Amino acid sequence: MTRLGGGRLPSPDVGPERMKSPLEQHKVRFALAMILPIFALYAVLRIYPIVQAFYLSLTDYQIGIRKYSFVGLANYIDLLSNLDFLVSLKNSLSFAALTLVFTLFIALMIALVMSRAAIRGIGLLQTLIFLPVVVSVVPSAIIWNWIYDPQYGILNYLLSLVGASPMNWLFNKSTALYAVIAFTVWRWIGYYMIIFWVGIRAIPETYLEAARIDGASAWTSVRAIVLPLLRPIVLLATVLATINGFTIFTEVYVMTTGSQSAPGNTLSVLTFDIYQRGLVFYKVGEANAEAIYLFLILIGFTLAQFAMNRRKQDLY
Amino acid sequence: MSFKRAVGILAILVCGTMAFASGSSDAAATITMWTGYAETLPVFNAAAADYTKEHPNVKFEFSNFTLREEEQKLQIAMSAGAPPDISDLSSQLTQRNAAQGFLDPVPSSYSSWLKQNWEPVYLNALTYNGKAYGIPSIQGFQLLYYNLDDYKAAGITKPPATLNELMENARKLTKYDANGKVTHSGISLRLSGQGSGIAEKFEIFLFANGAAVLEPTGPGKWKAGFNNEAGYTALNFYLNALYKYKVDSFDVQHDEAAFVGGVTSQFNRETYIIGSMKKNAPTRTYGITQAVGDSKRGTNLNVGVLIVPAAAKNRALAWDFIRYASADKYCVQMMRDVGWTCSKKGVDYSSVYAIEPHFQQALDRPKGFQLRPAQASVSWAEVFTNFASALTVAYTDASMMDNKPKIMAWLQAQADAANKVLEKNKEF
Repeated sequence: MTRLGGGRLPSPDVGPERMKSPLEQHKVRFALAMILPIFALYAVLRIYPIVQAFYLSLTDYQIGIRKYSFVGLANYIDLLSNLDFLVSLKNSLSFAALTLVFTLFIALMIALVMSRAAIRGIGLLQTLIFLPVVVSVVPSAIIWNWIYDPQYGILNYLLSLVGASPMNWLFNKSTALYAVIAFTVWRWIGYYMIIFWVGIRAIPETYLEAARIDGASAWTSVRAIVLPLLRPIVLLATVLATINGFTIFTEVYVMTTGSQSAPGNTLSVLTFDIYQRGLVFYKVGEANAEAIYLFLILIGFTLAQFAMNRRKQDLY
Repeated sequence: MSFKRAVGILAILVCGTMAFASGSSDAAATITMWTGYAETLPVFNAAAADYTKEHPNVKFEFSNFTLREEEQKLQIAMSAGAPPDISDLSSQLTQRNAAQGFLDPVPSSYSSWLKQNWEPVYLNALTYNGKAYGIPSIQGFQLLYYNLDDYKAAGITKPPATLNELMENARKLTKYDANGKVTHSGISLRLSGQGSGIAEKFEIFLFANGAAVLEPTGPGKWKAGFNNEAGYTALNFYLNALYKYKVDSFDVQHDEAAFVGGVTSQFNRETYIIGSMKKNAPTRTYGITQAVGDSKRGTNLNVGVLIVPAAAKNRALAWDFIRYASADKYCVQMMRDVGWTCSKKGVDYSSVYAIEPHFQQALDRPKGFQLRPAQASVSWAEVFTNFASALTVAYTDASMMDNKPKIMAWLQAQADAANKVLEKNKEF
């Protein structure tokens, strides 16, 4: 084999540009020209705000105060001993974990049943389950506020039929978080059900038929064929549900607004605390430090989920 | 036509248009106004229409947002140097922004007009370094609403004036089911929700004995003012109401919804309830009295201020319009059609009182009754919100009731936390 200058072998597909034909060079320039505006837009709308947020997190900047100074990592360190931040972090972790588990489990069960069982009117059923996803979150949250109303709520009414005492679901510290989790699970089941349903439908019928001929039970088919083949979809749903769980805001905001609702601190999550710190207390520096923490948490969880999925794939 | 020639013509056209536009702006101005009180727009529209009749070259553009949104937008717009010509703002944010140079001071020629038409308490709330930075408009203050039918049924003949009388009345008014659970509260206290409102409502009970959440210690300096006897009395009042006398409960409706719905007999709120009652419970008879007190009697006062940002384009016109819109007839319209009361003194509201006498009760203050404007502290929102969060937890702790050492220790801990926030903002 002939060695070229520098002792490196030329790559057949990524050689120096001078080796490309004028037509290919033209194509590359055209592609770059097409991508550039989108990239520029992305840089302005996404990358710049993230960089700016990181910069502001290192300052004591407050909206409406002209002078501010560089404080290094002080905001990050202060947050670690800030009770509101710690409560919000704990609530966010609980919220994300519980919504993820319940939403995905219920959605997967419904998708499995719907894809396998012969149910009449399945389209209507799917629409009904999907409906909460398309209803705006604010009216939904207000409706659920009324469902939980201690005096006039339908939940307490139904419980009273079986002799249970009425409860103030949103006010009570031991039930408030779960009340909002129940609402969120209800909202998102339909979305993940559709994702799982599409994934299950994509599995070739022949695999399941072969399993049936071999005498596998329905559960064995699901465990040995459907679930392993559905892993990429489960990963996608898990990543999406984790991000959704950590970035929930409107539900908490609406369900803590007004004297009939939950106490703010009981339900405070990271996004709510960031909003409060930045746009109520106007402490933009601290709020950005908290936002960077949230960003790192999300990146960390997402990478961990990908890594776990890769390890499982390697095992098979 | 060559490319260079075309560019040249285009440049001339652009410059000409800009010159025309800037030249014509002197002749015809558009005043922009933002408000966080959308319900007040009909009054400003009426004032604008009248003003335009007298000044045909002036037009108006009104934008309304929710109160919190408007505050946020205004802060950012002023920082960015692109604010509206007029905006409403709370008194404490007025002082904060005045200190940062974001606001235009009221023209000095308005000085005697301001003094003639407003009590010092309103003007002090928007004065920074001896200069007024806004013109007071509407005002918000807490009143005690009581259901007259419930009073009659319970044999109560007069509204309470002290904390003890308030509790005594509440005990007579509360209704229970067979299991002893409250079904109709004697008083609806603010126990839950987010934000600073819980602490603001609690503060009325601090005023009852002369204290406040934040007390001034010097110019721009504050300290927590509730870790004392007044704080103990206020918190113990709530705990007694919930656990000893059971005149309120977490398991019943609260606030406006409860009073309108007829499931509470007494509660504290601003004047807008008068409009709400007229609309939602027109047949219910009720009375209004001022917030109760022991050694002192007073209420917190939120002064709505109309301000002109320093970077506004039409400052002189903006001040002129604000003064114009402060005329008595617009105050009367504000009370009659919207339900907010103006802070201006000497306005003849008799035509409104004839239609809605509750407004007269709302403005009928006993001698010595104190109006306490929200403290103009940068830390205000954080201190009040944090204290409100802590209060929601304290209200659930029955073991604190009548336990003075425990309550005092709790109050001290919250005061330390508030002072820490003040210290961080260099206000302690």
